[in-house]
Amino acid sequence: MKSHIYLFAILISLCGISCKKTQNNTLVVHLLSEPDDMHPTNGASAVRAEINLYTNLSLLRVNYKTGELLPCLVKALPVVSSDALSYSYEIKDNITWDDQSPITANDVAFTTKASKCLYTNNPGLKPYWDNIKDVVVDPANNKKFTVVMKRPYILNTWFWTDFPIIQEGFYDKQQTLAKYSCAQLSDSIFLKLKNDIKQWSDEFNNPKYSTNPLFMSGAGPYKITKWDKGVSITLEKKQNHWSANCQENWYCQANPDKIIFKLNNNNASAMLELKNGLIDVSTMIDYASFTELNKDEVFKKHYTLQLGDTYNYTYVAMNMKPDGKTHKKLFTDVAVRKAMAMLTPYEQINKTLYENHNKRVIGPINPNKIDFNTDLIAVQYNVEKAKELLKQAGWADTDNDQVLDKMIDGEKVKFELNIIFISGSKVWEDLAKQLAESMAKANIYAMLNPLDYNGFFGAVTSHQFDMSIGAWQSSAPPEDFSQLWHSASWANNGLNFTGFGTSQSDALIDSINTCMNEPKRIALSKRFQKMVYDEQPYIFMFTQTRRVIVNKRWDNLEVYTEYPGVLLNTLKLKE
Amino acid sequence: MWRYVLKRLLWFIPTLLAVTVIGFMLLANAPGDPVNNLVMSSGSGGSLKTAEDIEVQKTFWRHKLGLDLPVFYFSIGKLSEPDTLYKITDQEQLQRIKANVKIHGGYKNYIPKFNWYGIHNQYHRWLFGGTNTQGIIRGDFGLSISKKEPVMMILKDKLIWSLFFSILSIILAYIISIPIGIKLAQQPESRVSKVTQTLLFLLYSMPSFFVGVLLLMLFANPDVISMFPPSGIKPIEGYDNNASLLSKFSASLPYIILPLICYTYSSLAFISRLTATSIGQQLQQDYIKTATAKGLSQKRILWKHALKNSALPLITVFTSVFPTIIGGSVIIESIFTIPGMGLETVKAIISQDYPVVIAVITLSSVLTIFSYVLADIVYAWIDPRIRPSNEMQNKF
Repeated sequence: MKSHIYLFAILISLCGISCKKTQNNTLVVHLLSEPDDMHPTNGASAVRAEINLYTNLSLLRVNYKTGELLPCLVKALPVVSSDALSYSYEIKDNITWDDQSPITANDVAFTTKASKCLYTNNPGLKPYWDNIKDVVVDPANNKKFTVVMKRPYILNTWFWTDFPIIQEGFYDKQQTLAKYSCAQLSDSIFLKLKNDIKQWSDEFNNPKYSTNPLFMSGAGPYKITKWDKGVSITLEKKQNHWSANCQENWYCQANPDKIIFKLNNNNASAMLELKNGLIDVSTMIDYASFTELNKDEVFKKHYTLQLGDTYNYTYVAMNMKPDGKTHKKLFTDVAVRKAMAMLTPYEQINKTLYENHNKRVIGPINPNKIDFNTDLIAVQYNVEKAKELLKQAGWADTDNDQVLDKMIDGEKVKFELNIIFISGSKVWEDLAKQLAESMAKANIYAMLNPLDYNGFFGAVTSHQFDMSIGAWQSSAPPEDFSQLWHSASWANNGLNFTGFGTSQSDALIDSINTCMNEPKRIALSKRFQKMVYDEQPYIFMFTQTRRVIVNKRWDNLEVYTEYPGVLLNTLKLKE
Repeated sequence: MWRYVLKRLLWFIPTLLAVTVIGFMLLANAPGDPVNNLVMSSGSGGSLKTAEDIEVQKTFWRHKLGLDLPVFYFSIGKLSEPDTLYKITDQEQLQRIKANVKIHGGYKNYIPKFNWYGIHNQYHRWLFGGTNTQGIIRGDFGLSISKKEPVMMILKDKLIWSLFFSILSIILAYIISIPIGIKLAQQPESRVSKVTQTLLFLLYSMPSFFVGVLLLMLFANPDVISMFPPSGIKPIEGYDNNASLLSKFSASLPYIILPLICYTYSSLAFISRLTATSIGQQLQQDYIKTATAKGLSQKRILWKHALKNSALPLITVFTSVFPTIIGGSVIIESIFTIPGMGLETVKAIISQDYPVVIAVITLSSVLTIFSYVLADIVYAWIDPRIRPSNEMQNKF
């Protein structure tokens, strides 16, 4: 009996330890997955980008309220040459690195060269830098520089928002890269002759710069002080940071003394952590948990729950150009694709899978973007009209086997298809089931085929599929439609899975990409959206909502459409 | 005996090589292209006009990671096929070439051809080193394709937590289940024994995801009992600087209890039932009756004689745990957010991170082999009849 009492006492004391919440000015943030790494150039995950918002600074940033560009390290937006190939900037005065050395144009040139150098371990990001021809530093003033581009492109300024400027004096003390041009650093034959670049890159690619906070340097108001792999990442406010005197812009603010990103990839335990008050901010919990917490009055006394828009959208892609052998020509006719869109039970899906939180998307642009074409009307669920369209397209159940059929290229083809999606997502599996059930009402037989990521990606990029479910992430900058909709992206096994594209649509995409006149670009973008809408290569589904939960001990909450939705550095501890 | 152990060890070297070869071949032939994933990881970025640059990047990375080499020392193909087919990385292009060769190959399509590539192949490079790698015989498992960090650096921390939970749980399981098993064997027909057996059976049948979530909902839930933290393995702000091992353990204690229960309950139930059955059989033996007749205490009979003679299946179970240490438990790690090997392995498989996956396979094979040798040694130590019989076999 005595031993049982001791055991109970131990458990109670454990409870005391376990229920210890972080008080003071420390913000604990829920994280679903860790960043791939925190190397200044060699990483690509969204989480890393979020952390970089606080630990690093870029030339330009997004104005989260307006979705426009905001000068950050530079005094103003660039002066653009008439041919849209030269962009002149000037770095702000009195801004410094942690060692108090000034941030100069040489750091911008170094950032560009380090990112473009073939030996740097950032293969997935190099294409973003490809369009930069050179960064020319003004010999008379090392705060002034001109970025020379290869081609005019709508994202020539916007792309800077994604990449932090890194310190030459920290990552290249010998100034190795300064001796070479951007073109030389991208030339594999030239690089083979240069041992000093190899030595620099071996050091620069060293994993210590990716994972060890002692080897991380950034211009932002916070610094990573601890990375407990698989547990948490701690950011601490820098003392005497230059931004303390310019609080008007969001990127300069540093209200919490400490921001701790706590990893939790399980919805059940994340919900319990919130209930226990162990997490201050979450934007990543699933719909069901969010709804459950929203019904909990006790929880709502301590937490603010708010839904926010995002630029993401989900879709169901149809193969418009199948080979006709392994995958039949089911969706080559626009009437069939429109029928598929009408067979989708949008309301039912939104209610059962997304707790009615999601909004419809109509075309290839998220409705939250300024160039969204408001003239387009969302396709509605209408089984009878869908049947009519299928009949017009020549599909009928001629042999009374409850499956539509049609003669295609002299062969009787049954309307049987595979819906592929990445396995492991319950939501997508349920979505596929609901689609299949709905199609059955029109005598179309759909089978579900969950695939692992590689299998799925391989199938869609090699056009070996009938129908696939997926989602795209987007952000505030103008849309470059070429990745998803240019016919070259289909031919090159890129992200145009469906085969959408004609010479007209390709020409329109090229025009949009080089149009530097904003109203004109928006008009062209709307035309392109109409073109896609008329062809219906996708069943455009929903734009996802962000589920924001913030502890009420924090004030100044604003929810934005742009990722990550909440700017953690702007939250203020209540008095 | 040592000669026997040495012989077993020598046999395990080709076994290990065979396992790594099979693992390597399976991964090399898995669908998808890791370099494509690596280079296209940001959605190919920017304008389409960069397609050529992407190709340059792919070539560069294939060379850097040694993926432009043939997979193995040799391959067996058709006489009609060129022996440099391995250089074609684009699957569609490869299929087109193969289709063309099939059409124009004639009788050569039916004659097999042996292609010898020498030591310049991916497997040899992985084993003995080459450009950018030292090879696993020098402890270098290469560079992770997705994280671009040395594989051992990625696995080291994960391995520690997986080892910690696996070893602690198996020790706990034995400490608890052997006395339970002995009690059950002593009075197999009693009501307590029957209820316990049923409970153990129930425990054994319950899946870990169910038990994990149940434990969380019961003991980490402010609506029921909030006794333990719901996730993680240490306090949010980590350990204090210069904290001793003991203070680290005590700081982590509240975090590890629920996952530890999850790791332990199933093997606890199994080992208890195994012990009960095994000792129950021993208690029927004549030597037990002799010991009882000689006046030995019940405790001595059970713990010294019966337990020792029923230890062989328990040793087998103990040694079979070793390979699972490397695999970790994906479900438990996921529920409690434990940075262990299970989740890391799954991530590596999904991202086709060959070096990480093959490192896991190799480490797992080494531990399996180690466990077999260990089992053999302990068998021979516990039951001397096993050793002479092998030695006798060797003589003949």
